[in-house]
Amino acid sequence: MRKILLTALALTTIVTTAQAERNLNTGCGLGSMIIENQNTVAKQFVAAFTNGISGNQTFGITTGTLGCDKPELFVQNEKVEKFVADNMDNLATDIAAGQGETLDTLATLLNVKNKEAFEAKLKDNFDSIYATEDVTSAEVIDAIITVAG
Amino acid sequence: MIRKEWFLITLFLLSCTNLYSFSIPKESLEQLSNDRYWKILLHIKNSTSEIDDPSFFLTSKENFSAKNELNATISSLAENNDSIYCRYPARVEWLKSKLPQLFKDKNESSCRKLEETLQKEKPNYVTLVFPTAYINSPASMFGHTFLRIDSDLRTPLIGEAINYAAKTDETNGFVYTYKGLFGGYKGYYSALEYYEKIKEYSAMEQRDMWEYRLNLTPKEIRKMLYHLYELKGIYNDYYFFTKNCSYNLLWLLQSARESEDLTRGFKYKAIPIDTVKRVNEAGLIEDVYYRPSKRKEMKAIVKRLKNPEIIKNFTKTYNLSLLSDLNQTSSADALDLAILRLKHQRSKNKLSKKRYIKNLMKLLKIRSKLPKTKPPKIKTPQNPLLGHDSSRILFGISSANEFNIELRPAFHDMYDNESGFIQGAYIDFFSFKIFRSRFQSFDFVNVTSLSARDSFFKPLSWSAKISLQRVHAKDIYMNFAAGVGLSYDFYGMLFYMLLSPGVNIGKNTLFDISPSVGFVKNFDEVKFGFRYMSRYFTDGVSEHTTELFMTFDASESVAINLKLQDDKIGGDSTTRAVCALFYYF
Repeated sequence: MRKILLTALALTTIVTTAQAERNLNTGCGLGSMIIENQNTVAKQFVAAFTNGISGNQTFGITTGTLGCDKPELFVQNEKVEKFVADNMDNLATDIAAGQGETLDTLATLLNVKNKEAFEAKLKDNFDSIYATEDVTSAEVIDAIITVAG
Repeated sequence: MIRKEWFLITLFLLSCTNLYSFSIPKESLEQLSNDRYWKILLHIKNSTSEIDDPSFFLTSKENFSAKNELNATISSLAENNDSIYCRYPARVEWLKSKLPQLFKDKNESSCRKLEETLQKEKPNYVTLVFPTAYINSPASMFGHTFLRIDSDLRTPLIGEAINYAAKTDETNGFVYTYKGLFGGYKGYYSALEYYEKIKEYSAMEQRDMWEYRLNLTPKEIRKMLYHLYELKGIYNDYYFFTKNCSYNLLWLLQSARESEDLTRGFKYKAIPIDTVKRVNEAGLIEDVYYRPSKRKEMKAIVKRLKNPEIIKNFTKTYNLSLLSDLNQTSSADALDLAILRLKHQRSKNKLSKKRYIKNLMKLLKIRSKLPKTKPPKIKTPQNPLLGHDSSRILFGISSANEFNIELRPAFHDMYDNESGFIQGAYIDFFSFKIFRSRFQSFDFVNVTSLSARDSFFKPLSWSAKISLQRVHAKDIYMNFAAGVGLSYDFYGMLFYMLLSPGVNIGKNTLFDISPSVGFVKNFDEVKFGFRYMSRYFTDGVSEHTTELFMTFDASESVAINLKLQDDKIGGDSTTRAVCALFYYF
């Protein structure tokens, strides 16, 4: 019976859902995000079906600051370094908009007292914090510390 | 070889047992090994442990019992075997309270590495997180659950997500399904930052997430983390329907609060939302927080736009002159939408990293010059905890005095109230139907995904079905069918059209093609729907069904379904009204 069921599943995968294997595209700069691979249709269906099975998780996986430069101005704080490195795009987006959960979290991690002023200041100085396209997380942290004074 | 080693180790441990056992009365040892918490730590259900990894135990598989394992643990302690503190911190903590004399002469009796981590991380809160279905994949519509540990409620993003998942690098889809369903993979507990989970679910897969904060105390959380530490690198065979991600979290929660029997039942299915309901019934849920997907955020911004067409155009062309007539707030909305769209496209690998970063920086720079805007208002949908239970029995009677009976173990179909579920995502397993007083069909699996298209997202709707069914109201055929189509949302009404070819294998082989159109509309407690479906068979006979239905909730577990149905097979046409009772359990 199982065989019938599975053969049947195989037959019914003329369907274009998209999921499946992902590669963790990590780094210290912008553009580090989870990218979906467009795979064969059958596999996508199957992958969706077996939700909860994944190939890239180990206990205490760390993608963070490994291999990234350390910020110079900032007192070493691994939590902040890792958070910024792992959330470069979302942080940049929040800073440009002047609000958002990623920015709030950073403000809390940095023990900022006046959050609103901090966020407004960063927004005003977006161009200097993100001076180039290949800005690194360490440079972003240093720039934030400089701007926030 | 391995077995031999285990045998020797066991023998050794048993001999140690004799060394100390005179100091602990046999009866109290017996009693202790029956202690509820000891059995929780060993994941014992019906006197066997559910943990499949032999390296979790000190005794061999053949010699395993709660008592032997306890003996072996105590021996190991009595032996002054220090490694045991880091290998079994939860067992050690429990023994400290039960047999304090064991620890009398010891300078150090805990795992220092672990204690330092706990000291540093301060795990104060636990949240049970339920990402709902993947939008166009009801196959994943059962959802998923994991735990999040926070030290500070203000920074959930950096919380630690504790996940249970099967590990595989399998690339063959069918091997993957087979193994996933029938225990061919090993499941492990793992930890990952919560923001990574959000990236995966909310941003890439466009799944809403429900966060249920639990009322576990820091002391209970500590117990749970001790136990989790014991399970590091320990596997269980993974079964999609039963011993899955959600079920295995219950063992962790149970190790935190032993008074609740969270793992009871779940013999044939452990659907994620059912496990969340169990946790809720046990009184563990204190607070609910809804985290909408990025798609919901985009929809909410679109909804408040005054010039949606101009702005939609901008998000595709980045042509700034389009924004020249708009005020600052609308321009900011346009930029926010364009940025969200760009990120989504990148996550779907539709543009290169280089181009993505270039566009992102360009848009962000412009955005930073525009004012901060009000966050878009996103309506919180019905809490999935309040949705109907996943098994259903139907009793119906028609105007021609025929009866209908249906048995459906899981999960949700077109006639069920959608409150607490994803609109348009229907999936049934092993559904058995008696229609007009005789056997009509048995669906092994029946999936329909109606995913509305909008200005940013253009998903296809689809369906897939494998069933034994009666064809032309005569013979039973094995039917395989799969279809594609389009769906649109119109003022909360979901319109769809599907085209589904199929093959029917029975006394002969028949092919058929089946177009269908319809809509459903769900109010809080009432649902309406219409469906027209034709099936054209290669033997020249065609079947047509037209139905109009309404379902309304009578109580938490009962709904009434009224249907007006017209069936045409060949030239014969019959029209009937059917009144049915849905009972959910």
